[in-house]
Amino acid sequence: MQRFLVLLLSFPHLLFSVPQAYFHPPEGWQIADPKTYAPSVRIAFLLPRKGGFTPSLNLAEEEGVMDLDDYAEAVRKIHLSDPKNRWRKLGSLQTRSGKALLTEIETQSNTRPIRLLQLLFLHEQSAYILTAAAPREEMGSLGKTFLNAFKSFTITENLLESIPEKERREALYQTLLEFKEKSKESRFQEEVWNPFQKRFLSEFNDMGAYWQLLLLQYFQEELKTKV
Amino acid sequence: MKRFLISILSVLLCVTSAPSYGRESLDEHAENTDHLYRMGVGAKDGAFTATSTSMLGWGIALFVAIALLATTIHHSGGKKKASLVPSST
Repeated sequence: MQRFLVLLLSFPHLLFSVPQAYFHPPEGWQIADPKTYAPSVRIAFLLPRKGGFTPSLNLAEEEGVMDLDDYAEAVRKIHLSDPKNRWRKLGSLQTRSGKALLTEIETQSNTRPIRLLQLLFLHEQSAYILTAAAPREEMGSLGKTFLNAFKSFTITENLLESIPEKERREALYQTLLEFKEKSKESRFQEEVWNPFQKRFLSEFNDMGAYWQLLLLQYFQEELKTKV
Repeated sequence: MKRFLISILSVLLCVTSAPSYGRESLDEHAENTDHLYRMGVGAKDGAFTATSTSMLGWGIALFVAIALLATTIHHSGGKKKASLVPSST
């Protein structure tokens, strides 16, 4: 408890942070080039393979959304404004943070039929949208992979608290507290941060690549401001 | 005189505040309309990015193939190819 309080005092953003949304991308998928993201998109993943239409998965966020049904209606209109698109509701899907609405879009890309699955989730006047895309004929085999990623969708006020095991969570708290002292050292980046980053990626692999990325980004920024 | 000044000030107050109130109201209305118009942009961006990143994966593969093809052409007929390219100098 004492350690937790010390950490909160050291990293006040842990207590007063804004909601963070993350999901578990499928194992082995790569991060798509951020330069290709539309403004609302936070992260995108691609199935690493060469040739053809590569299956992808991304998370977008939109603020100022009051009602999920109204939002779904606005989304339906947007998708159907393109005459080659077909849109339908598939029903609700239980995620780790509650119920979301699952929808499907059929479209064409270079005359090839493409299917998109889109999950719409509302939390504190923000819409979170997970979009998966694949050639229509591959959706059967990839459907379960996409649904598992959708179900893993989580909103949290504290990324560290998402670690289910108390021991691992506390060990990470401790490491980060030590970093606060060491971050003033001249060779902190090479001797402490880089090896930790490598170890963290392998030890917390089960938390998913996006969660790992968010946590590393957060602490790197936090340590930078404290130096 | 005093009454006259007060009435002048009251009129001025009404005249200057009215357009300001109107402008604020108009701004608010514009903001609401704009928001309604933009609602769904997150889903649109998500669908756009899903398709474009998937296409880019394909585009990069195609680019690699084109680059390999260009290397082959360059090796087999470099001089002829070079003469077809207009000089920029």
